[in-house]
Amino acid sequence: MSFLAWVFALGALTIALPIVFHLVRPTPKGSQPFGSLMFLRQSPPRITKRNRIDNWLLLLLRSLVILLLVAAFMRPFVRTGGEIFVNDLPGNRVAVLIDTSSSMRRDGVWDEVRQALDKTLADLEPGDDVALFTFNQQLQTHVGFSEADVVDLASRKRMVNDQFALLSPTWFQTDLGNALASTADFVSELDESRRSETGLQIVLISDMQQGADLGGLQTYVWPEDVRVELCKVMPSSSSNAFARVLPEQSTTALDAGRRVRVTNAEDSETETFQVTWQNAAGKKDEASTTTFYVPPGTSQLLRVPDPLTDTAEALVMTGDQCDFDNQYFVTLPSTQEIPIAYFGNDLKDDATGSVFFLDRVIPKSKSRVVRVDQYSPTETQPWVDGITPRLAVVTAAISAPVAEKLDQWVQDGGLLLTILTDQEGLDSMQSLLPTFRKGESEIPEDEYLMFGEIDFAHPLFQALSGPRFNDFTNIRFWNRLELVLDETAQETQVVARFDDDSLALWQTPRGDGLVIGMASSWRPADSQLAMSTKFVPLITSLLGMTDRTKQMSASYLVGDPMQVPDDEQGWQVEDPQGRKLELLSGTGNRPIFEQPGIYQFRNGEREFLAAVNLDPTESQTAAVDSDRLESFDVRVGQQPSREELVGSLQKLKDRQLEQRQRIWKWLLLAVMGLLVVETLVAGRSSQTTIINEAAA
Amino acid sequence: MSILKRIFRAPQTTAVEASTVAGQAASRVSIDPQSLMKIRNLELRAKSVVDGFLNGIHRSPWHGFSVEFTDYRQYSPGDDVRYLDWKLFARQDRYYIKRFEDETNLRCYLVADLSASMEFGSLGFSKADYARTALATLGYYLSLQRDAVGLLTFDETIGEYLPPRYRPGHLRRVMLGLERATAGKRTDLAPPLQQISRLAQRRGLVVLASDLLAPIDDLQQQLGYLRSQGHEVLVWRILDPAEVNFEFSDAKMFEDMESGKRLFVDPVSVRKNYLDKFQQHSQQLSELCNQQGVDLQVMQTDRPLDEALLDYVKNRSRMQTPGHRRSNLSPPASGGRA
Repeated sequence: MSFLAWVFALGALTIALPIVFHLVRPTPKGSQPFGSLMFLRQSPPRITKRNRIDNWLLLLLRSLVILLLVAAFMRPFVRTGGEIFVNDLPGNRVAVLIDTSSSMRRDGVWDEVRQALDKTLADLEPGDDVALFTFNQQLQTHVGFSEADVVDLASRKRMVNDQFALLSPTWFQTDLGNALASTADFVSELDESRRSETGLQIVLISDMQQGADLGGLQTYVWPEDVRVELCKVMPSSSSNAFARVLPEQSTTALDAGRRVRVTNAEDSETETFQVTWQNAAGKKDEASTTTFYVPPGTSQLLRVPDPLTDTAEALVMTGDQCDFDNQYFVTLPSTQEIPIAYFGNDLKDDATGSVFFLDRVIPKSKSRVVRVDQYSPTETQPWVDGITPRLAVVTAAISAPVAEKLDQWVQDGGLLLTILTDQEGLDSMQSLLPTFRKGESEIPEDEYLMFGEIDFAHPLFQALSGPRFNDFTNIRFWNRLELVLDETAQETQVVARFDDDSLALWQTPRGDGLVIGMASSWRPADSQLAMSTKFVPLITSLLGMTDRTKQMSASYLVGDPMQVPDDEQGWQVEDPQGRKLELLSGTGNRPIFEQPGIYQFRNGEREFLAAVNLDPTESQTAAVDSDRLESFDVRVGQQPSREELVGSLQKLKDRQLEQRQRIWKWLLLAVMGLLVVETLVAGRSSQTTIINEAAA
Repeated sequence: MSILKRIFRAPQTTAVEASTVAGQAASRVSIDPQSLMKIRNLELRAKSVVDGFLNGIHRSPWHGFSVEFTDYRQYSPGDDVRYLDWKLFARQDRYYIKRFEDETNLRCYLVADLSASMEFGSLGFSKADYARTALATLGYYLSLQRDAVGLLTFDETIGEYLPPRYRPGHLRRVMLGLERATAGKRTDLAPPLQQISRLAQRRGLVVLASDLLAPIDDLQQQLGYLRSQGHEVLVWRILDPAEVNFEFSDAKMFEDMESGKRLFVDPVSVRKNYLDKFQQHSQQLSELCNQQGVDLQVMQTDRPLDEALLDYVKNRSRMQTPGHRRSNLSPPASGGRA
């Protein structure tokens, strides 16, 4: 006979209670104050202890009732099946999950990973299965779990060691949340019958840096039977800081130097750092060296002098003990001169003309200087300085040779903006715009038009599509040329219409280039466009359309996919190591940036540079505790040992036996029977007492 | 004239008149002691009893008893001008002083036992409260007649002592003295009575309010002090109904309020024994008082105070009948009044 709940055996002590109650009578409570006790004497009953038990049979019956009740509460059962032994259990499934993010490149970390892995493998017991996973921004399986029923542990260990020898830290960021969730799914891929008996364990070997992304665990329901054993690996020195070049707050800022922020880690031990520019050859520009004093856990922002040469490619920081994130790569574009060819009869200082506004609308900045060159609309002239303009604006009727030259330029990829305000101008553009003819209606005097319908998806208006900016009702047009578009002109895209439904803005592709037409002008005599707040963004968007590399960002993070303008074919990429890669067209498996540095993109004569840097979260190297994982309901800890598992399984089996046998019911029946007997005996005993007292 | 007789200014009352007084008392509406004790001010409490008492007897033939005019004498400087007869002065143009039968010469000592046993009470107030009220009532009554009233409170030691005087404000001090007195511990009659016998050179009336729950032998000696000085001694024995009837039901620990001694008592089984002993003690006390020439009046706290006073008047009236004699030298043949 065994019992499930031994703790109820303490209830047997209650046998003492009836005996104590039997022997002790309580002292009367309360007292009566009285003037004088001189006429009183003490009267029985006396306050004494009775030291004699009157009825042994009753005491025995009552004690037996209590004992049987206690036995029923202890849930007795008879163990019929065999016991469970350690060898009957299947082995544990252990997934070793190693962090290979860039923060693991710190000194001494990878050696500790090796030691942690060796210890984990040494702790495995016969029958255990082991798999090897690594993660950075993605999870990778290097050794999966065995499919066979009988696991050869020695060979599994050998496979893990062989695969680990091929591993090294990467430059990618850390997505710990998704890696843990995916590994938990791998570990728990078992039949329900086997899963209850198998210990599911993840051994996480990581530096547990503060910047690791745990967002993947927020929506993941952690399996209750999967435990995570945390092996935290620490570098030889935790002092780490990193520098970043920040973008200018204003495009018109002309201040000397660039804004640089240095951030020091919370557990850093140093506070003084130097920042300097370095060119591609590794030569430092000592003149630009700037010292930062940054206490741990804070950051400081200073201006670092511009590099003397345009060839500087990295900002290098010294002063901390972790070098992996001490370089910040930048592409320093030289000031770009953008020529605009203007074909019109007005002069730059004529405030009633168009070029007056065009020349002033784009301010000069560090990266861009816009130059408007005036050309005669009737005579062909060579391009100024021999530089092909990025944009041509025609506001007057041009001669046929000029039109022919512009047509050729557009077909080679130029962007032409033509302002059509009269029949003469339309006729001169006939070779470029053959599908347009003049309409008959005109705006009556004292009347005006406004933009009625605008295609905000067009690059011209895209920047103004927000609800705060898309109100064009303040711009009035007094003169416009009504144009009728032939039905055959399929390629022409209407960008905007006036509120009388006539054409206002349209675009027509021509060869590799584009012709954008406008049925009015921004001269003050024609409209309020030049005076409105919309003019600057419109012209800026127009210039943006001329930049064929505009889709390229100047700065990327390691892990970002490589992008080329318009998904064109023929682009070659040269990585910082000098390796070349051919980019295929299409949006399929686009290669990603695998390391920080300057990547060079080439396509024929066109080329641009891309600076690729580490994810800033990787520089947040202060270690966090396992509490952070537990806050996402991750079960941190080791699986119970085989002996503990056997104990818990045996308990489970005993509980099932007890529920099947239900011996406590029979004990309760016996208690009720004994209570009946006790009642009879007690009744007879009290009758005898009364008779004896009466006789006395 | 006996001092006690003068207290109430009773004329020569016959037995028939005494019965009339009793009948008057029975027809009056008395104040319930429990209601009376709810009046916090002791002076007001005494005034309520006396006013009721006087209202009751004003319908009796006793009206007009007070300080009585006798004759005139010539005014001489130094006499109190309050007693000048201004009407006579108007008629004769001479000053005459009115003379009264008796000016204040009664000296009454109110002696209150405030030991712990007097704090017992089963009616919502204690025996000490009742004793204070009774003594205050008598003091107020006497002061109306311009008699000198003194006070002495005691437990095992003497508490308050005020010599008997009749002057403005003295009665208020007596009342305050009674109110201020707090309960002590044990009862010891010897010191206060010795004190009075030592201080009171002139004969007077000593009114002692106590439960007299003490051995008879001690009481005999202590009461003897007073009688030996020639004082007239009136003892009001204040008893709670619970002490007289002992009608408790539950077995409890009874605690002596003076000694703190505790005794487990089953009242049902000891009641008969208690009542026997109590009666025996009362009997012995009564005999002792008779022997000492002391008037003993048992006052149960559930009885109205004015009824108790009238009882006393009735007894005093009977005492004035011819042939009645009291002495501490020759004890009466029969028992005293209780």
